[in-house]
Amino acid sequence: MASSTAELATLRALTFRISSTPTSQLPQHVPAIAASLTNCRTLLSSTQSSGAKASSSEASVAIHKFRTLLSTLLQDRTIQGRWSAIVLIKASVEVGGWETLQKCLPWVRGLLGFLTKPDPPASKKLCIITLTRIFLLTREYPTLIREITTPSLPTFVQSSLQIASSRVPASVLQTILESFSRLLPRHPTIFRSYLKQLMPLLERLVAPTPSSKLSREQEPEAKFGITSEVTAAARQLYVQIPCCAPKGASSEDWGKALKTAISNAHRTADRVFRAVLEDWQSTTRETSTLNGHTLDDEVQDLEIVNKGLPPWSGIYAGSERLTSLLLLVKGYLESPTANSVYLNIGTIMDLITRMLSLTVPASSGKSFQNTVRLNSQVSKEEREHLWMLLPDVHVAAIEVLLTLSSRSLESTLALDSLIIDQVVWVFGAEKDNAHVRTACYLIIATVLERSGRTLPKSTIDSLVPISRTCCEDLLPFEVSAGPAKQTPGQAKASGNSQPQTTANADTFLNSFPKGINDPTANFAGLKGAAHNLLPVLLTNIRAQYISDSLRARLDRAAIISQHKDAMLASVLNPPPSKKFGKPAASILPLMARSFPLDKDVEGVLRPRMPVIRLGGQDLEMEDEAEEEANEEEDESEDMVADTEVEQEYMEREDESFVGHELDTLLESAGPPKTLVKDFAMRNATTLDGVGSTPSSQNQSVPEPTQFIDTGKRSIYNEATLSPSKRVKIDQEEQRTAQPVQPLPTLAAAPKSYFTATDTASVVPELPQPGAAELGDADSDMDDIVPLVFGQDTDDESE
Amino acid sequence: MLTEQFVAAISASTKPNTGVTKDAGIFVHEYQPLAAQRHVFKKSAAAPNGIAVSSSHIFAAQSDKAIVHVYSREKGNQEAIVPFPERIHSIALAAQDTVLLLGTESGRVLAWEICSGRLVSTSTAHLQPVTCIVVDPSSNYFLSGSSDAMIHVWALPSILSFSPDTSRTPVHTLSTHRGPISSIVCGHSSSTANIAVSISGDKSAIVWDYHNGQALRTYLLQETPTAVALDPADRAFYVAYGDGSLQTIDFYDEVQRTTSIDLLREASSSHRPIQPSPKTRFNAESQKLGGALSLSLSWDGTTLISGHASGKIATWDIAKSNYLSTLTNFPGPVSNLQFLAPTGFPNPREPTFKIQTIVKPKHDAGLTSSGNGLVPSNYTLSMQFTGRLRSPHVSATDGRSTKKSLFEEALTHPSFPAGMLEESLAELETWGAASKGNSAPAADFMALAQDDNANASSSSTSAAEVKDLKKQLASLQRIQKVTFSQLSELREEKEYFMSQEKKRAERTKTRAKKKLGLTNGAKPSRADEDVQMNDSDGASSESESDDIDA
Repeated sequence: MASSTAELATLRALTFRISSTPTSQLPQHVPAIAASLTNCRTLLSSTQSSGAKASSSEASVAIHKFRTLLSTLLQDRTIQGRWSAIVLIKASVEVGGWETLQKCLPWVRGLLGFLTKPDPPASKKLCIITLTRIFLLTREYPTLIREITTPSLPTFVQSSLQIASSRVPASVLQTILESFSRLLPRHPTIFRSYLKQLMPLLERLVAPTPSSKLSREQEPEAKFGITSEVTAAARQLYVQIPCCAPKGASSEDWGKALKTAISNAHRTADRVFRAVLEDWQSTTRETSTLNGHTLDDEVQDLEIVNKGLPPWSGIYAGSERLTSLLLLVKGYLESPTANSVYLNIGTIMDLITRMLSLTVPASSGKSFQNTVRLNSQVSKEEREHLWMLLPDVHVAAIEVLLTLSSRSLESTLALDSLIIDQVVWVFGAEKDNAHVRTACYLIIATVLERSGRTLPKSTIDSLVPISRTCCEDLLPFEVSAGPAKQTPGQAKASGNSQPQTTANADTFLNSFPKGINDPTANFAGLKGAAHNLLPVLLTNIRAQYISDSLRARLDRAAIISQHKDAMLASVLNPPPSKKFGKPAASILPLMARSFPLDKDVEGVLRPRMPVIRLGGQDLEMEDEAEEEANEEEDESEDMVADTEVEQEYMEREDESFVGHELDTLLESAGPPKTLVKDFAMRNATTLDGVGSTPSSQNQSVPEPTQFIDTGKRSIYNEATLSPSKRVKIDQEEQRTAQPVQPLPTLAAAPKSYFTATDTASVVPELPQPGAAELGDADSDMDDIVPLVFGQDTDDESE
Repeated sequence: MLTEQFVAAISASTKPNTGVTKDAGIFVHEYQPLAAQRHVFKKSAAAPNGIAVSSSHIFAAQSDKAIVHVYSREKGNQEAIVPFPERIHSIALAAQDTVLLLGTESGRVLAWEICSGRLVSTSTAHLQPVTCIVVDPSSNYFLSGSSDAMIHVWALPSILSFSPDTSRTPVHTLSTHRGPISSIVCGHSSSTANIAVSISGDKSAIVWDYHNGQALRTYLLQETPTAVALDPADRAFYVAYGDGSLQTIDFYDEVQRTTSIDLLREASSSHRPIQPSPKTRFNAESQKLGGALSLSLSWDGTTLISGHASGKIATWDIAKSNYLSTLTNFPGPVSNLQFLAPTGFPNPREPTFKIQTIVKPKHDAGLTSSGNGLVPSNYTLSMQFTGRLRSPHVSATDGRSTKKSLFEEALTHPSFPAGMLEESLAELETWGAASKGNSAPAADFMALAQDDNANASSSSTSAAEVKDLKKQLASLQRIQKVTFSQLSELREEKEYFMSQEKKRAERTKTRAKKKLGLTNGAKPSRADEDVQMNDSDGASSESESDDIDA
């Protein structure tokens, strides 16, 4: 109750603050008031009907007062007052729950009235957001939908459409479109009657052609400022319009709409690509008849295609339209659908194949890709414009592919080899364009993550150029490496090799370019995509398919860019050891140097042995009660034992490295072990009064199995009997091991991965005499602990 | 709260039908928190390795028939009966439950894309029926085991590929077993370091590195194993036997602990078969469970459940290696047992699509592969898209941020994001200033707005109005001038009278002073003023003097 009285006090204080502040100054107070309103959550969302107690009636009075105050503010004559009301209503609806929602019908009416008044655009934005939020919040309560949403939504849509059709700032338009795209899938029947007004608006917005050559008069509607966000919001709404179809027809309409978008894209491409004769042959539609005819002198499409998009003229406008249409296809894949739809992968892939099969011809005639057949009817200028615009189209096409693969995930495994072929083709022709490079990195990473491990060697080989460029994009030093090497005899060398190309005096002045000479330094997207691709290349391609030089390049990029994920990936996917020559190098030491504190590095370097309980079969013989007592004891001791257990694991490793048999150790070290055990268990035995614990524990020591080499055992017995000797062996081992440990250079690392791990785990500590025994005793006890934990958690979950 | 369920299927109803569970064949049974039966699907008799469970459907290959029953888990009914040209001996789901792999009698493996209905067949690599299929976690590879003692490793993408030159033949063939393969389990890694464990009629279990086609370890078992399950962390596997007993086979047991870290990959021990200690076997003879036919491991890896020939499902504590309880008793031998991932996590990852209904295989739609390697035009997926994808625009210059748009952020914000409020506040300020500049005393903004509207509507008359207003203003100014002049006159008059009055008063004062000066001698004129002040506010000065005294 204490909290609720505090809340009551807060609410009263807030009410007083609102009512005592002059409305003209209220807006400055409102953010703080709205923030502290969240503290009244339980009070505002509590039911007031059960008001027998004095405190609850007080509360209901306070709440009523607060609500009335907001209603009064909403009717206020100043914009400041109304603005404050909007913000406070939003805040109280957020915290208020059903109770507040139920009473907000007058607010909704007031807010709706607002949309028609000439208020500042930003307040309108807030008003639209608040209304949308109220409509969305009511969706869980059918009665509230009936009482609040259904009656007020038509007014909302109507007035929002009016606002959108007048000259408004782009941000308001964007807010309206986003609000609609939230509400439309939930209330398709209400929006259905406004589609006639909505569609023309959207058709202007989804695929704008700002560089169209048509003069303003020729266009049906005056343009206003369209930002890319508005276009994106319009697209998002446009693709959801099939939801409004009468019951049952929505999935059909969705398919039709997607088909229309695709055929529009083809139609636009017919015109934009007219400068070349395409090699692409459609699998779905008959090739256009456009190419055979005499051509207009201008690339244009003046017809209004079936009640659709506005006309355009000029190749720039054409490419803008084409890109927008591709993004529209992407939009269809992005947004959720009301029910099951038929997604025709065939036509989408057909469109993408068409887009990606036409590439910019290489400037030098040597390339095998230089096979574009030109259409002689079209001027050279237009062709060159086309070459300039093609990369953008390709980026958009790859975006469609990216969305398709993140939507359908592994259900389109079948497409992966096809996608790789096409992307490699585009990359080969247009890798100089940073955007194309970014898109290629992203899609290749996606495909490799999905099915990289099964790709045949030939496909991996085709990815080599992409991998190399990826490394170059990551490494800023790559470019400046050449001049840096020349520094000793630079003057002479440069004088000879570069016969006075340009007299750039600056190159002489700073002979040692300190500033990183990275042309892509500010290309965050490109860097990000390359950064993302590198670990994928190192993880998802089979190590034996990567050539040594490429592998060195990838490792180098990972190390120099200090890319932990990539380094880890390289370590976990070690290059195959050759049958002859040196074993392959691992970059593990370099990773250990760079990230000594990271958990995943720690996990690789010093793995904790995964332990399934050992020797448990003998526990059944034990007395149940006694075992339980031990378990309790173990739990309390577990904290202490934890560190020891860790040490024990490590020791186990280094012992295995030495070649000792742990079982024989267990057996031979019986007596001291019992002593330790006894010490550890003293409490338990005294509690129970059962003196047989040590001996029964002793029984549980596993018998050596028949595979143990007797010769080894005898050697080892000696070792265990004289612990000092054992330590010596370990130390010797270390001494021999450490010098071999690879230095943090790439060239000198002829060390296998597992050996490196071993040396690493040996280094931290020297086994103390008897430490192993102690560890073992604990491990026996520790064996019981996991199962206790397991059962405990089960109990809790029930 | 988390809920953990398992699915069990019986191979045939052996007991007399009693009550509700009449001709029930597949049972969805809750394991935690409350062990109870949740759903029943009817009319199914599945052979071992014959059911596959996705989030939306259950597929059951019918024993001794060439059909697969498909049940919808949401609707709880039988959605379809799918006939195939030959008997199906094993099925498994791959590629996020969108591809069903079917092992046939003749030794082929069929891949049925359940969204598109495309059906692809592999070559007849096995000589005998394919008894089990497992898919690795990345869905890139799957293993098929057959009665001919062979295990084939296949690459799924190349089997599904449209390109005409892909070979639909196995990547590797694992042929160390000498008896029919009864079951395979695959490890839980999606890297190339993954393992698989197969059990066979030759009383052996082999651990494989299937990526490289190598046998890592051979275990010689005492009896013929019937089912196998693998620890979630790949530390051990569990084998079930025909006498109802189970066995834990730990990769890190005493024998192997002494080798290097990655025990399984120690080359020296790969050719040395290991006979696990019989002590690791455990049984519950008193429970009369009958032979164990199927095995599954709970999500946390601490409890093993086994399905038995008697229809009983027993739970076992792995750590203690003992029998815990009998969960339930089904009316037939439990041939399949499969734990489902627990549901009820607070923030589950929403799938990007849902499969409402399956598309039956189309045998002759030309979808298998096209001549040119392109996607056939009628290749269509039937799925419902769920959730909005955020795939930002690809740009080399801007980082790819999957941030919410400002609208979305504002929509779910407790009030409004600070940026939006500030922007709006700033606009409010300028808006107010602008309106104030237009008309100074505009406390009532609405009235002004209406006036403005009126002005705008009657633009023709506005000029005349302005003239009128100017006239009025001029006259008002004239009146004002007159009043001001009158006022100033009055003020002057008043001042004059005041000065006159003052002079008179001073004159009388000086006269009186002169009289006093005659009586008391010279007294400063200040005393008079003090007296006067005391008259005016005596109380305050008194209190002041009090303060000074104190």
